[in-house]
Amino acid sequence: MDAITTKSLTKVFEVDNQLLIAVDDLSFTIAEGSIVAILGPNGAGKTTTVRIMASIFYPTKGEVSIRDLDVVENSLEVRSHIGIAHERPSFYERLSGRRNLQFYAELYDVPKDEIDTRIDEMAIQFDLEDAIDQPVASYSKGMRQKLSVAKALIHDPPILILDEPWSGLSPGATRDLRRKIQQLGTQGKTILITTHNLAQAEQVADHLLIISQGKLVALGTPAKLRAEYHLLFELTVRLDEKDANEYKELESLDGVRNVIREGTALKIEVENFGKTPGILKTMIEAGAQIHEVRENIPSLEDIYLNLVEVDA
Amino acid sequence: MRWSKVWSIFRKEFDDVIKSKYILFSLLIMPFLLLVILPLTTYLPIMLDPSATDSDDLSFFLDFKVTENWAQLTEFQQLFIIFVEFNWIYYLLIPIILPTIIAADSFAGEKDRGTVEGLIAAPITDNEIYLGKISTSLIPTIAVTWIYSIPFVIITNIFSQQILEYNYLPNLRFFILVFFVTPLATVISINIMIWASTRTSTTRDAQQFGSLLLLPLMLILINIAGLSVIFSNVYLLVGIVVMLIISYGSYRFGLSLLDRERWLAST
Repeated sequence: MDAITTKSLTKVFEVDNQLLIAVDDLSFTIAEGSIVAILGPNGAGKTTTVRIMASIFYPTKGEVSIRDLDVVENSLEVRSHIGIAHERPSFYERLSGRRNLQFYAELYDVPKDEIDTRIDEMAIQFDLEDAIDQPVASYSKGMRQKLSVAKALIHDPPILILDEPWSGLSPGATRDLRRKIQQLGTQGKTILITTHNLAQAEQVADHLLIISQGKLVALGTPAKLRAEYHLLFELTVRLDEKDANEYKELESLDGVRNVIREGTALKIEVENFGKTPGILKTMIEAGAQIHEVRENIPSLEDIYLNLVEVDA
Repeated sequence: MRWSKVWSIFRKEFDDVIKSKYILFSLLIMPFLLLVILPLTTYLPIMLDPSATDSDDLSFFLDFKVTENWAQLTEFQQLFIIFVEFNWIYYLLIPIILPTIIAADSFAGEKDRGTVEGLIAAPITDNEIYLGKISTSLIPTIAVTWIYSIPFVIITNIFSQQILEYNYLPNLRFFILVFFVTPLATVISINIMIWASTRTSTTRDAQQFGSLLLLPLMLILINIAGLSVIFSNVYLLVGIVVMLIISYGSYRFGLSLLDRERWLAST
């Protein structure tokens, strides 16, 4: 069973008597247990897409199924399968963190006799034991973000949606949240993360879903996207000063796309690192004194910028 | 309809509301002013200076038969009864004004706080949200109004014993106004506030806009209460039927306005 399936998903809003296409003919499938980073520029349609998945908005056209349940026809059941931490972690400020979680636990049908135990577990997991009985008004941004994820998990949903979870977090809180997401991933939950934080997404996501102007640009593992869009690996070889000018002919080797000289270093763009031994052998046979070799895999940022710029 | 969800929303809202000093102060002080202080300031001058009621301006009211024993009463006693009856006008301001404070916080407050998205992402129906939130305004308002009816009746009867030599309240009009008109006026007021909340983006805007929309309701209720004194309780019963229709219509209309996308989009 797939966790999420969309077919020709389209969402149109009417803004000031004008039609705005927020999501345009999106079709994709997300397998159970995946951690998917949904990437895209501002206004790309990321939040609208996850709101439709969570049955907060209904599609204008097309279909969305969550674990084979249609988001329109089975909206209540769909919502109970999903835990969502919203972009703005907002709570009833005058109430304590515990009272807020109790409220959502009741709405999500957590058995009454389990609610307090679950809340205590969440407080421990998210390091909120000292704050859980304090009014949310006294919480820092990081604590609110943790409480927001705790709220999303209170009913132990199989699918977790995190909308910009790292927004405004300190480095420590960012790391803690990343570890928590990785831990949840090992428990088999399907996790969708909309984010601009490519560095964090790269560390947690096993799949990338890139959207631009409401359209699907790419979906796949980082490795698949690198291969599919021919992103080049970069081999940096630092040489003696005297050797640095002499290896333009490396471009003629199989698998080498480009060679750029930067000081005493050569940056060699290759299709994959399987070519490295052959390249180095050629250089050594030609008499080069090699001091350092570094392999740079294209980052998520490279993939993202490449795809979004191509799309734009 | 799952009443457990309505109950969850009501309990959460109630816990939230009573933690607001501003709302709690309004819930306790406004009825105290209207149902304790105002009757005292009305009755005391009559008691202390009965000659003040000899004014020709008040003689107009004496032509109406407000009670069965009207002809047997002195002018002073008749005027006291008129004063008691017209205190109902102040009484009916409570179920109109109090819900504006709670309902604005409950509906527009969700937008202010940004909690609306969490609420509508939960597996609950629009009807459950709506009923839960209406109950939050309805139950405290009716409870406070009914509780404050007790000192109102006691104060009135203390003076009534002195002037009429019997307890004037509770009478039939009391029961009709307290148990029928008050809940209906509260329901209408809440639904008007909800409508105002869907058209505004902050609690303050909702209160200001809603209060303006409530003016016609106030005039209708003053009219019903006032004319029922002059004419008869039949007028009051007709008013209740009209209010019942308006209450149901405003409930359906309010529910139809609870468009999740619009609610979320206006945050």
